[in-house]
Amino acid sequence: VNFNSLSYLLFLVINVAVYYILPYRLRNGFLLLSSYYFYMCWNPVYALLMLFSTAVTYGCGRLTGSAVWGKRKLWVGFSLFLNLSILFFFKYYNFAADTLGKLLSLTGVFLELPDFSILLPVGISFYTFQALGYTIDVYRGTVEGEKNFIRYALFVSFFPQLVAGPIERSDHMLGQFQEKHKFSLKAIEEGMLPVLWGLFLKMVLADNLAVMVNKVYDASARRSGWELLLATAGFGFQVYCDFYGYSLIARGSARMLGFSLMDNFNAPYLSRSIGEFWRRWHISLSSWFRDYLYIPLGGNRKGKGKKWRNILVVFSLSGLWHGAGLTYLAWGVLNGGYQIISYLTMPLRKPWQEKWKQKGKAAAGCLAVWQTAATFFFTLLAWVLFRASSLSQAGQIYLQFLQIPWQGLSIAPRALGLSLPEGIMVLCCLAILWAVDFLKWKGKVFSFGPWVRYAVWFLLIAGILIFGSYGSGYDPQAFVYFQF
Amino acid sequence: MQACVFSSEKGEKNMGGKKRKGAAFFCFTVVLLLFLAISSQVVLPKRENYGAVWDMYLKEPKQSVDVLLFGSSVVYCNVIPAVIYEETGISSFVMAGPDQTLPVTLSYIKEAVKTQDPSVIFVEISALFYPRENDSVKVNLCYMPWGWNRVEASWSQTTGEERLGLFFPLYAYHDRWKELTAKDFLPAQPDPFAGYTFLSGEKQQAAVQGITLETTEDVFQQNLLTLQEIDDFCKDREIRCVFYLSPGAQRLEGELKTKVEAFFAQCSGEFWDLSQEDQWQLLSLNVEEDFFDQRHFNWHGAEKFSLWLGEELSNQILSENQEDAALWQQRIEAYQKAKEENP
Repeated sequence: VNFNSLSYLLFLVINVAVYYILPYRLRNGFLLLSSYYFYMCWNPVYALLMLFSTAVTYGCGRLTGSAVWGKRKLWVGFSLFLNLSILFFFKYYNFAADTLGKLLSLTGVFLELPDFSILLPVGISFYTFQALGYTIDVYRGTVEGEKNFIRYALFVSFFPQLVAGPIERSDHMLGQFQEKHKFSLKAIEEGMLPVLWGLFLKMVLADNLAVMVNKVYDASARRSGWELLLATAGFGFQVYCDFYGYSLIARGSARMLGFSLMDNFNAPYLSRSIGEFWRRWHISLSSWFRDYLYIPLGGNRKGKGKKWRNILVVFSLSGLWHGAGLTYLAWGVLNGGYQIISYLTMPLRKPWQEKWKQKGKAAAGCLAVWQTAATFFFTLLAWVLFRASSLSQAGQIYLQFLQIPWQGLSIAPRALGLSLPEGIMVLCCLAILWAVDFLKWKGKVFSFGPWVRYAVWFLLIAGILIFGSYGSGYDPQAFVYFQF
Repeated sequence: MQACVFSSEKGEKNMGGKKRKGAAFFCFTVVLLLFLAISSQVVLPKRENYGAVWDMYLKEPKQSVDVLLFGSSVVYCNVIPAVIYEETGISSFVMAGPDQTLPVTLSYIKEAVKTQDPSVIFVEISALFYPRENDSVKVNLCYMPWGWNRVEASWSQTTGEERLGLFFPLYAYHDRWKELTAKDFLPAQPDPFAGYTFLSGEKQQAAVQGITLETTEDVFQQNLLTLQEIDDFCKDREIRCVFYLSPGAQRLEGELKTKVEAFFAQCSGEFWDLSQEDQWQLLSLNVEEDFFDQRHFNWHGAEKFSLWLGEELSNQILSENQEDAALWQQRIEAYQKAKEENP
C-alpha cells in the first residue's frame, strides 16, 4: 500500500470515514487494526516483530516509570539493548559480518561468519527509534509510562507515519490519542493540501527525476562530469521531493483523522550553512539524535575536542541509520566533517561576512545567495555518497567532477533520459517548489478562502494526473526512505 | 501544527457563509470533471485507421448509412465502402476493430445503431472460434463513446489495469502529454475511407491454402450465445443481419461446419460461408495478387470483394442514399488517390 497508489487513497478514505463513524472508545482500536493491516500488506510476519518491539518497550516503559519495581536504569537499558539488537540483526548483521571478514582478511585471518539472507522489515529504523525515544522519555520523566497498551501500540504503529516517519515524540503524540476528535470538514481540507502537494512532489518531481538519475548513475563510468553533476543535483531534489512528499502525505493523512504530526522539512535547500541544513532536513531524526545522543554525550558543553567528537559520532550513526553500507557511513562522516570544518573556518569567514553585510542590502543579499549556493553545492557532493552503489563508484564520480574544467560543457541530452518537454516540465515544477519553499523559509503564512484553495487543489490534481508517474506499464518507484 | 505555508483559517472567517464555500466546491467539482473528460479525450492517441474509428464514425451524418459492417481486421482491411458506393450508391461504414471479440461486436452494434439506422448489418464471425479475451479489447473499447454499452463492456470484458485504463483513460495514456500536437486538440473529421484501412502490396501467398478453424467447445458455446444475442437484437430492430466468414486461409470444415450451419439454420439472420475456395471463384480472387497476408486482402482483393458485396446488396433492392453525395464523392476520390499512390 504505497502512498502514491489508488489502494492507499481508498484505504485512507475508508479509515477517515469509519474513524469518525465509530464511537470514541473504539477509535484507537480501529486505528491500531488498520495500522497493522497497513503494515502487513508488506510483510505479515514482520508485524509480529513490531508487536514484540512494542510489547517490550511498553513493558519497560511501565517498569521504568514504576516506583515499585525500582532499577529504572536496568529496564531502560534492557529496552535499548533488546530493540537495538533486533535492529542490528535485521539491518546491520550482514554488513558487519562482511566488513569484519574483510578487515580480518587484511591481517591474514580468514573468518567465515554465517550470512543471513533476511528481508529488511519496512520502517524498522523509524518505529524502533520512536519506541526507544519513548522509553528514554519515561526514564527521564518527560512523559509518564503509558498504561493503555492499545494507545501505546498505536503510538508505535500509527499508519500515516509508520514506515517512513516523521519519528514522533511520545509527549507530542500520546496525548493526541486520548483526545476526542470531532469530525470537521476543516480538518479534512487542512489534510488535503499536504496530501496533494506531497503526491505532486513524489509523482511529478521525484519520480521523473529518478528516471534521469538512474540512467546516469547506472552508467556513471561512461558519463561526463557535467552529466554526473546534473544527475547528482537531480538526485538532491529527487530525494528531497520523495521524502518530503512522503512526510507531507503522512501529515495530511493524520490531519484528516484529527491528528497533528511534526513538520519534517523546512526548506532545507535554502539553508546558508550545513548546520542550518541539518536543522531543516529530516527534522524528526536530527532532533532525535540531538536529544537522545548528542546532548547525553555532552553536546558542546565539554570543550571543542569533545564537541567535534560528538558531532562525528552523531553524523556517523545518522549515516548508518540510513543504510548498512560504507557509502552511508562515509556520507554521515562527510556531513560531520563539514560541520567541523565550518566551525574551524568560522574565524576566517566571519570578518569577511561582516564586511559584506556592512556594504548594504544588495551586498548582504549577494552574500546570502552565495552562502545558499555553497551549502547546496557541498550538500550535493555528499549526496554522491548517498546515491552511489559503492565507495569506488563515488570515487570515480568525484574524479569526473574534478575533470569538469577540462571537459567543457559536455552534456548528451539522450544520456539524461528525459525528453525536452519533460526537462522543461521538471524545471518549471522545481521553480514552483523553490517558490513555495522560499515562502516557507520567509515564514509567510498565506490565508486564503475557498476559491483559491480549490483552485490550488485543482492545479495539483491536474498536474499529478497529467505529469505524474503512474498507470499502465509504470513500475511505481518505492519511496526512497522505505529502505531505511 | 507547526508553521505551514498555506492556511485556510482567515479565508474561512471572511468567507461569509457556507453558500459561498458550497459554490466554490461545486465549481471545483465541475471543473475537475470537465478537465478529466477533456484531457482523457486529448491524450488518447487519435484513431484514423485499423478499426475502432468511433470519433470519425460519429461524424457521419445521422441516419445516412445503409449498411454497417462489424468484426475484426478482416473487415476493415477487406471491405471498401467507397467502392460499394461508387458501384451501387449504397452507403456503408466499417465499424470493425482489431481482433474484435463477439461480446465487443455486440456492444459495437448496440452503440452504432444509436446514430444510424442501417437496413443491413454484416458480422464477420471469425471471432466465433477465438477466445473472448485478448490484448485488443482495450483498444476496441477505449474509443467507444461513453454510455452504458461502453461501461457494461468495459466492466465485463476486462480486468485489473485494463479496466482501470478504460474507465479512466488518463491512467493509461497520460504519459502522451509530451507527444501532443495541435492535431490532438482538433475535433475529428468524417473518415475519408468510411472505416476501411488501405493496404497495398502482397506477400508470398503460397500459404493462403486452408487452415482448418478450430476452437474449444466452451469458447464455441459461449460465442454462439453472443451470436444469438446479436441475431435477436437485429431481429428486434428489424435489421437484416448477415453473418459471414471472410475469404482467406481459414476454412470451416467437418463437424464444426455442421454445428455452425445448424446454429444459423435456427437464426433469423443469414450465414454466408465465403471461406470455401469455390466461393473465391465467385469473387474472381487471385491468390497471387489479391492478398496482403493469409487473412487480409490488399486493395486489389478488397476492391473485388467490395464489388461483389455491392452487387449482392443491390440485388437485394437496397435504396440509394443521396443525402451525403458530396461526402461520398470525396471518399471515392480519396480512395482513387490512395490507389494511384500505392499501385
